[in-house]
Amino acid sequence: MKSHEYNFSLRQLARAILPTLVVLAGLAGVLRAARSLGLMPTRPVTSDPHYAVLAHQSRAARSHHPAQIVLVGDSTCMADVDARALSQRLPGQPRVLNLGLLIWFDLNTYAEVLSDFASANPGQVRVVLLLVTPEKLALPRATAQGLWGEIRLNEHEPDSPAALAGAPRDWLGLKCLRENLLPRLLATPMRGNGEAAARFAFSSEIDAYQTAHDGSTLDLARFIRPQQPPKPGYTLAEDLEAESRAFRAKVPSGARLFVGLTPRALSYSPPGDRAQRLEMLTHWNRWVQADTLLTNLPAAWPDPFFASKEHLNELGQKRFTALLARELAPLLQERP
Amino acid sequence: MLFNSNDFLAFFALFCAGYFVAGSSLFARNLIMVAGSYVFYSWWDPRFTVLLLFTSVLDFSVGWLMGTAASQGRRRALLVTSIVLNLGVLATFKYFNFFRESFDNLFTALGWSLHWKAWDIVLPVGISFYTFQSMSYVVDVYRRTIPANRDFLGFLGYVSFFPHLVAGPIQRGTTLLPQFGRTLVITGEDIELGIWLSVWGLFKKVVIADNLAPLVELVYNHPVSSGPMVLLGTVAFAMQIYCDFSGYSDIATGVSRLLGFRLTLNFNLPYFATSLRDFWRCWHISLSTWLRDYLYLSLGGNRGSEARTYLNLGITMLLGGLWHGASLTFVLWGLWHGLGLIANRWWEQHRPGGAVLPAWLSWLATQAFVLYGWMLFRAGSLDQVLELTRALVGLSLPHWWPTYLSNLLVLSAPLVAVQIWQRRTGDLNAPLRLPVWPRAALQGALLLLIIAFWKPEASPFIYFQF
Repeated sequence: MKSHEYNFSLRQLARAILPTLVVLAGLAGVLRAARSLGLMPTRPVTSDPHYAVLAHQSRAARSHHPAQIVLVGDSTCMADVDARALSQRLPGQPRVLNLGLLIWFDLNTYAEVLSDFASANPGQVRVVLLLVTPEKLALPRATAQGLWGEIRLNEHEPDSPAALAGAPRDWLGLKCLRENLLPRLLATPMRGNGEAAARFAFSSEIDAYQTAHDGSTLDLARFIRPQQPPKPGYTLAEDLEAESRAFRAKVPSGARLFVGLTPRALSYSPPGDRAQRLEMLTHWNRWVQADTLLTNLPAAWPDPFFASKEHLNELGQKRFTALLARELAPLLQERP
Repeated sequence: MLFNSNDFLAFFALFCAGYFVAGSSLFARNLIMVAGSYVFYSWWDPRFTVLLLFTSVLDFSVGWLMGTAASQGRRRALLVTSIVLNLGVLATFKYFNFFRESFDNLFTALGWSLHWKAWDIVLPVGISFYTFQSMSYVVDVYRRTIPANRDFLGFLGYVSFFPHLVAGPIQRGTTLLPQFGRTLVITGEDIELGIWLSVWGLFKKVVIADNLAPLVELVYNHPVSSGPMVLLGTVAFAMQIYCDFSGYSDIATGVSRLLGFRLTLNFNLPYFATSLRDFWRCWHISLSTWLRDYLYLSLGGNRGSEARTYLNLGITMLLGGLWHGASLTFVLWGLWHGLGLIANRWWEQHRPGGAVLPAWLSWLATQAFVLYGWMLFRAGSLDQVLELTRALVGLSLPHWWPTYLSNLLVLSAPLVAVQIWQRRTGDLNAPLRLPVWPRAALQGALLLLIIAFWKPEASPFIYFQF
């Protein structure tokens, strides 16, 4: 007995399959043409929280903003200070913009961000405040320079599925469909069970939060105590000198540079932390040549103010912002 | 192997080539089908093919012996043997740890400690589906609905048929088994329907369900205190599970059609149902009819007193809930629907003055009931059920709710549009009635979106865990 019989003609088979493939090819052609002609909208925030934050900072650095005080530094700068609240606490309420990045970018990248802002807002910056965690100064030269370049050009693709990578995706024009069109219809939900996902839910909400807080973010993680006692001692990375000098050179003319170290959680603070940090800051200042060192910032704060070893939580951010405002207020009233 | 994976695309292409070559011989076709199905199943874990083979050999042998048995007593003994062994395997792999924990908790509450050791048992994919299908054959032979099958290869194919092996639709010996013993005719209409169902099923899974999953997680994976968000999250889950499961059924049916096989309908627009009874006639039809024919009717159905009928309904739905998984939330879900069906039946028989609710109110009440059931189904524990139920009275909304709602509407829109179209035309295959080019435009657009959302790591179908 035969297994099966085909009771249709080749013409019927072609009718069932070919028109769909023709349409698919047609749609792919339209997408490709739209991309070639520059008709595609720009890519919105689509990806993971880190990328969303960096993409926001990259755009903010190149946009018009009335900020006279610009904060740069690592993620502690971004998470520990509420720029909007800081502005409101300073005399005359000068606008503040937080352009903090992440720890794995080097000082050259921070300088690049600063230059971008100065170019977009010429002659406006009065104060540059560089805030980093001590760990940042001990890190060897960061390797994320290329990543920042991609983010700056809006070309970084952390979400791109490997299955779509390469030629087939380009043939079908799916790259621009996935990255430029679909995210305009569908916001990207944040995955995982963390507090950040519960609070922000979508990457676009992080972007909106940063816009509303002039670049500052919030770390919503739950603090975990260290399992081993922290080790004392500090080092400065070998290439920090050159980076620091280059950074100093990029501070806009007429602007003063204030430099400080952010606090860490008490249970992560080694014995003699404060003295060591002051020594570190003084050592570093031979290269970065700050107009003012913020030596009164706390070295360590109680654990309940922290979301992680170095990031303050919402309550800590409020306290630290108020403290920073008290430190800055008299300095801003001094004549340069 | 998942339908929404690159592995399956490669597998199906190779399988079709072999199937085409085997066209001249029924034996070769069935051999290729069985070999392909076992390869398909072994993709998860080759060890479990032994279980699949055991179930097939057991029920084929029992059916054979039943066919030759002279006395009714011997037939009954064979039936009991099959049921005990099949349910024994199912209980061991699916329910052992659940019952161990339940007894442990019970005895601990009574002041005794059993200290049973937990076994690290891996649940074989699709075990509930193929076990029920294989068992139904034995029951049908016992009831003399079908004769005992004498074609072992055909029977192996019936139990392991890869398109529906791991998540149904559960087929009966009366419908699928005879197809392994005859020449199949593949028409142009089969090809068109097969393509449409495969594309539409993949779209529902890859584009709608997989993108709804993170929305559901946003509500169900975090503590919530917002009633509207629990509602939106549960609506998202109702859409997700429908698209995930009916998507699987559509692909299974579509792939089967391309091979010339016909599977029974598993979903018939359940979210249009205006009563719970109606809902269960349209949702997972192959399971609900299985439960009706092999459990509810065996318990006596509605042949006894009214109270007995209610009891039978309750038991059937309770066990239906337990079929889904070894968890109290599934038991609760089954119980919820059992109580709903009892209330539904009572209302139909005792409504004062033959009162009839307006259709929109019946629909709203039914879907609200179903939605609360989905909340029970999706919750991870009884504690979460309580938490979510308490949250229902809260009216606060997180700041991101408009984005959430927008995503939900965008993802649901294609499904709702197609379902309204199917409902209005009374034709589940309404898109196939379109002229060639409009249909091609629809299929081409769906295909483009499927490729755009295709993931290298395919996400499993929800019903695989059952």
